[in-house]
Amino acid sequence: MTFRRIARSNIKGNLYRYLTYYASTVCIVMIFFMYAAFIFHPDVATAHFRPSVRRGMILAEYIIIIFSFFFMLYSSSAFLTARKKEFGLLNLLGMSQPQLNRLLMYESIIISVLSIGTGIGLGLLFTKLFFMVLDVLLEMPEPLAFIIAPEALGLTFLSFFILSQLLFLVPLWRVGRTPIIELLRVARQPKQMPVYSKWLILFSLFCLGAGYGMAWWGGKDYLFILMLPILVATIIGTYFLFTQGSIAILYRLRHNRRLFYNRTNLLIVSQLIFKLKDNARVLFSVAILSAVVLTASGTFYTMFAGMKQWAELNVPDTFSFLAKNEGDAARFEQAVSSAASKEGIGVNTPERITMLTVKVATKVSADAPPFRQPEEAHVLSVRDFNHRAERLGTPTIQLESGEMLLLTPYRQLTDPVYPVGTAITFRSGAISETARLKEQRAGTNLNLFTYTVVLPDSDFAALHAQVPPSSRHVYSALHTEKWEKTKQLMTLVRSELPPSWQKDIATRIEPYLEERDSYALTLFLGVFVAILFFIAAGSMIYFRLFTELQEDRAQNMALSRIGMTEEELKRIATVQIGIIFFLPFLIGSIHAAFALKTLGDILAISVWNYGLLVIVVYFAMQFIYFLLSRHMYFRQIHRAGY
Amino acid sequence: MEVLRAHALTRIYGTKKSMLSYKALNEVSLQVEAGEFVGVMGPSGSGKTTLLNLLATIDRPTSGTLEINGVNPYQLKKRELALFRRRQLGFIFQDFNLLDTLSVKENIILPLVLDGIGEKEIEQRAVDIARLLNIESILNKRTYEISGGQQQRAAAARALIHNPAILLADEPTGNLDSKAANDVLESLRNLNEEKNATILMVTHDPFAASFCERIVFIKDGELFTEIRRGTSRQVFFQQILDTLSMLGGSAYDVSPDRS
Repeated sequence: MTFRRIARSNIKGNLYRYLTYYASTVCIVMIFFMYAAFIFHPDVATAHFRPSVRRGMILAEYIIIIFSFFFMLYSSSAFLTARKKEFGLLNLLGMSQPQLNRLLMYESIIISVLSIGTGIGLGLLFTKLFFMVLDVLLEMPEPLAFIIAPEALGLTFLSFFILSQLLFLVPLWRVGRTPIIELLRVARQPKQMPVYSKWLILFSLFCLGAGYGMAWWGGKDYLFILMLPILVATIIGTYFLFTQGSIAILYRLRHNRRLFYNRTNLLIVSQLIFKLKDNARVLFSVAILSAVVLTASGTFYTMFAGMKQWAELNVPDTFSFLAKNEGDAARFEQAVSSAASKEGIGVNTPERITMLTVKVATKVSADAPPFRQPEEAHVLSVRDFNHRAERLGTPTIQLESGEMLLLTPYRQLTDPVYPVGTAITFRSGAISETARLKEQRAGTNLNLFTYTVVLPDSDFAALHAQVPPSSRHVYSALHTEKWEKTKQLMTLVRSELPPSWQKDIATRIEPYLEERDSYALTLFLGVFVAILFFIAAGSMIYFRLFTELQEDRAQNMALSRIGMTEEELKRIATVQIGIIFFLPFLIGSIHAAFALKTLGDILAISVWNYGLLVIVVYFAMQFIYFLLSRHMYFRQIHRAGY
Repeated sequence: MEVLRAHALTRIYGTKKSMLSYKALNEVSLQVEAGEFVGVMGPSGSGKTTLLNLLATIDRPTSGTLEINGVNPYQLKKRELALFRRRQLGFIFQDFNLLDTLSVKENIILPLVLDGIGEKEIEQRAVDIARLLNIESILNKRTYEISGGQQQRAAAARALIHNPAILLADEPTGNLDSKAANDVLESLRNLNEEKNATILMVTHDPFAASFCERIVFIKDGELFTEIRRGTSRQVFFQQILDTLSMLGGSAYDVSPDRS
């Protein structure tokens, strides 16, 4: 029997343990490889991406490799801990440490070559699909050809091979320094009853409360100052919640005799006390990872999906034109209508609003930044404003003569520019007019990104009559159906109208596409890394489950002998595995909910739909992970037979 | 009244056709009356454990029948069989098999809790059985805080709290020093005499066996002989030693780990 044969049969004998290690490595290798194939693709490497985008792409690859390092470190050490007894036995039988190292080296070479090979193989299978997704997302001029750059192959193989060899040495070194007796006893050490401290629980609740509170009330305005305190408070709070709080809750349950003395509850609760205590750190890490994954995915998704909502809110009209006179407006409307009928897109009747352009004479203060210092403003009548507001479902207003309403250019600009009641003076040529500020609102309900003033109808008419014709404008707005599909239409319209008009034409599709493209890649890379984290979080729990398998198996045997039915044993295991899987997820989701609420406040949009969708999707994935793990666990437990 | 009646139990390991099959137990018949304290002895490899596993219904015989309290457990379905074990049988193992995640008391009441007995009755019965076994003072301790003898008595309490038809003990003193072994055996006899518990104990230890009323010897998978106790335990102990030497094999063999 040669060494290599022992190594081979060790792999066979430890197949199920290796299987988990193998599967997770395959997943990571596959992801890494597909991604490498993308960034080393000849078309991509030479394409003219913005430098920031290119940097982002490469950064994501670094994140993947750093992350792989920690993840594989964790999985290989979990894997070797589970086999400590075996190493102890080999040591006892006289296998020297160098021999043991060599044996494990063989094993690790075999398994890493196998898993890297499989990972690359699967990667090759899915690369085309991956490219197709990227083609759509990045709107590549032509589809990426199925070319695998040799660099991608080489980088993937070498990085992971070196990584896995290095990582096997770390735990090995630890095993080598442990006395044999401890290796052999690893599972037999008696379990001390976990203890908890009331003060730490209070502290944990205080930290969580403080973190949540800061995020809820202060996140919008003071995010940059509060970000770090929020993070630290939440992380500390979560840590003690898992190491102390969970134990305290279970002790509470234990004292409730009626609940505790009810069939399998006795075993579920008392075993959970130990399981949660032993796994507190892992569960804590998983909770934080889940929070990160959910928040990041939620943010990206909100940004991406919210873009439509954002465009609809900020650019109320599909097409608009600030014309000099009715004739120009009519020509614009004609151009849009005829282009739309060519494209087969329906258009409603145009809407015209009479407007004035004025200079704002009242200064805010000497040192106010330009965007907080209205220079020029558009003026419209309260009748037109309310008319639009009713159609868009935004609040209307009533103005007395001499009063005005000021609209800021952007919805995000909510801080008062002038105090309410200020008398504001406008000028147009020689004419000047003063009105008292009744109210200020954030954002115009027109496609105008300037300060806008609303005057009572009579005041507006008087001003209109006085100002020179060059200050008079007609705002013309059109709405089409399926505005997301109007890119072609927009190009057509623009090409038909004189160049001098272009800057006064505003469309919803242009800012939308611009924003969307810059987020598409971020979204994609974000989700990519998030999925990686997610796999890792699930695998961490999975490995924990299998580290305790021996103990659980012995206990199950004992319970089965004294007459526990299989259903009862399964129920106990299901509840326990379920809690270990979903408790961190639940805590992570709550954290993410607070983070997304803050995000929603900052972006001034509702995030709950998107956030909830993300959480539901991850929950479904977690559930599948749970079912799989449970299945594997039962299979392993049953291997012993009764 | 007969609590247990085993008729011609045979257990063959391996397939019958292959050359490797091994007859661990050959047509062993055994009856246990209610309130009896029966010992099963034999050298290692004689089939003691095989017999006990069959009686404990965690193994099935190749042929033969078993009746416990009038029920043939081998005809039950898996789930019913587990419930049968839980309600009709009590177990004591060499390695105690107490769960270290539970306190002593929780270990003892486990069978009642699993059967959904009311909270008050559980408390009452726990106190009663603990008093009988003299372990009241350790009820709230953890299993690793108490001695081996106390652990085994706690296991005995768990095995009897639900009043099973028969208590099956597998080398209950195998892991104990002589003082603790004596305590456990006294406790078992106490249970047998005061609660009229029916006990079947497998052991290789003549001292432990001397607490029984009747001892069945098996050798090479077959019933060898049976002796009954008179009035004196001293005499009975000598009888056991004589029978064992007749049986051949070392009486003090090392028993294999049965975990």
